[in-house]
Amino acid sequence: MVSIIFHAVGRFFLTIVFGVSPVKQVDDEQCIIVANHNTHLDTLVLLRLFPLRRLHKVKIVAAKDYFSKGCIGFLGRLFLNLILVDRGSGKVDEALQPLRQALQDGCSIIIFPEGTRGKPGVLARFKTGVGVLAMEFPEIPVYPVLLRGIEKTLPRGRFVPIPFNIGISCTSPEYGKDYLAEQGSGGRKKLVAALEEKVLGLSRL
Amino acid sequence: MKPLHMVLLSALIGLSAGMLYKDGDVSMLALMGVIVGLLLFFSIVWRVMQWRESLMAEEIRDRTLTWWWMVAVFLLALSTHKIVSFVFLGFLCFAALREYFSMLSMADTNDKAELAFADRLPVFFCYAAIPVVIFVCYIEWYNLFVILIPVYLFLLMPILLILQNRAKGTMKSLGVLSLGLMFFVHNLGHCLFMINMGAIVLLFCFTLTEVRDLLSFWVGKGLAVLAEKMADSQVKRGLELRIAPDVSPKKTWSAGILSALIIAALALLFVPILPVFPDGKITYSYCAFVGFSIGILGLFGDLAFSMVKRDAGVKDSGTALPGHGGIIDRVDSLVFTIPVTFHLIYWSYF
Repeated sequence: MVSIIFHAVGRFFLTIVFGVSPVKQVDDEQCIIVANHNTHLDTLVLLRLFPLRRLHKVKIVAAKDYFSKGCIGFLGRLFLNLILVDRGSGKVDEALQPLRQALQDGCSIIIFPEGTRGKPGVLARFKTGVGVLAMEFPEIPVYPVLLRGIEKTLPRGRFVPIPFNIGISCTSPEYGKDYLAEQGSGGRKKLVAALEEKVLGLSRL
Repeated sequence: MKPLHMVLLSALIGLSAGMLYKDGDVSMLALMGVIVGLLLFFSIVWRVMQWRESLMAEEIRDRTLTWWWMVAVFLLALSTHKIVSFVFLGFLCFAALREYFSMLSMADTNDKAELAFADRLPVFFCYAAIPVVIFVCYIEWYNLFVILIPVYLFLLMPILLILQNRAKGTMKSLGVLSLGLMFFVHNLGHCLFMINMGAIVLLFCFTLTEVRDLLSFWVGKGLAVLAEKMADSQVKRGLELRIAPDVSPKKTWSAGILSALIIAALALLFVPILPVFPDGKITYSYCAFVGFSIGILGLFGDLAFSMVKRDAGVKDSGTALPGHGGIIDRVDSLVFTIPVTFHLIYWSYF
C-alpha cells in the first residue's frame, strides 16, 4: 500500500517536473520490457508502462555490485522489486536463475540489456541474457522500449537531476516462439539483434 | 471522447463559470461564453467533416479536443484565486522553457551540439528564476520585474560559466541560454504581471493571439487560391510576396497584414469589456492599434520559432499537446505579443 502511494506520487511528480509523455500501457498479463539505460530515473519512467495495481508483479533487473550497497542501493531495494544479478561472474546460467524464477512466478520483468548506463545517448551492444530468457519462455512478449531525452536529466557521474522532457516510445513485441525453428544459439542471437534493431529504429524516428 | 472525460471537462468549465458568477465578473463571463461557443462550433464542424469523410476531420478533431482542455484549465486557473493563476502561468513558462532546452541537442562539448553537459547548471538557474518571477509579480514590484531577467539573470549566466572554468564554446552556450531566458522567462513571464492588470487583459491578448494563429492559416489559404486564379500582374506578384521563404515557405506579407487588420477590428469588440485602468478607459483607436501590433508581432513570433526549430533540426518542438505538437508551438506568438501588449497598455494607462 505504502509502495503504491509512493509510486502514485512519483508518477505525478515525474509528469510535472519531467513532462513524461503519456504512454499506452502494456496490457499483456506478463511481459519482458527491454530498454536503453542511461540514468537511474529510467526504471521509474518504465514502470509507467504498467498500471499501479500490477506493480507488485513487476521486477527490475539490477546490478548486484551497484545496488547491494550505498544510499541508492538502499532506496532502490526499499521501493522497487529488484532482482540483483551478479554481472561479470561469467556464469550466465547461474546469474539468470532468479529471473527464471520470477517469470515462472508470473511476474513481468524490466531488463536493461546494455548491462550498464554507458555513454549518454549512445546505444551499446545488447547482452544475450534476455535472448536466453525469451527462448525459454517463448510465449512471453518482449517489448523493445526507447527512452529519449532522459540522458540529459541525470547523466552518469552527476547527482542532481535537472528537468528535461522525457519521451517513452514502445513498439510491437518480439516473441521467442518465432525463433524456435533456428538451430542452436542462432535463434537467440537473431532475437537479440531484432530487439536492438527495433530500439535503434525508434531512436531514428 | 470518453464520457468520463466529457463529465470532467464540463465540471471544469462549470466550476470556473460558477466562480466568475459568484464574483459578479460579467465581462469575463461574456468572453468565456464566446470562447466556449467557438469551441462548440468547431466541435460541430469536425463532426460534419467526419460525416462527409473529409481528410482533415481527424486533425481538426484532435486540435479541437486539445483546445477544449486547454481552455478549461486556463479559464479555471484565471477565475480562481490570484495565486492559482500565478502558479499556473509560472508552470506554463517552465514547461515551455523545458521544452525549449529539451529540443536542443546535448553532448560532452558543444562543438556539434547546441548545449554541453556542463550547461545543465545554468539551465537549472534558468528554471529557478521562474519562482522568483512569480514572487516578484505577486508583490507587484514592477521595477524589479522589468530588470530581473535582462540584467541580473543575464549577468548570472557568464558568472556561472566562469565558475565552471570553461573557455571553449561559451559564447554559443550563452546565446542559447539567454535566448531561453528572454523568450520564456522574461517575455512570456509578462503574462504573470498582466494578471495584476486584471485577468481580462491577459485573456484579451491570449484570445487575439490565438485567433490570429487560426485566422492567418485560412486567410493565407484564401489569398493563395485568389492569387492562383489571377492573370500574371503586379497585384498577383504582390499577393504572393513571401516574407522569408527559407524560414517558412508559405507565409506571405499579404496574408500577414490582412489578418493583422482583421485582428485590429476584432480588438474593438473588447473595448466595452476591458476594465477601467487608473488613467481612464482604453480608447477605440488605441485598442485597434494594440490589436494591430498583436497581429504583426504574432506573425513574427510564429516565424521566429520556425527559425529556431529549423536551426535545431526539429519539426515539432514536443508531443505534449495532441494535434498541436509541443507547448512551444502554442505559445510561440504569445512570447512576442504579451510583453508588447503589456507595455503598450502600461505606458498609456498606468
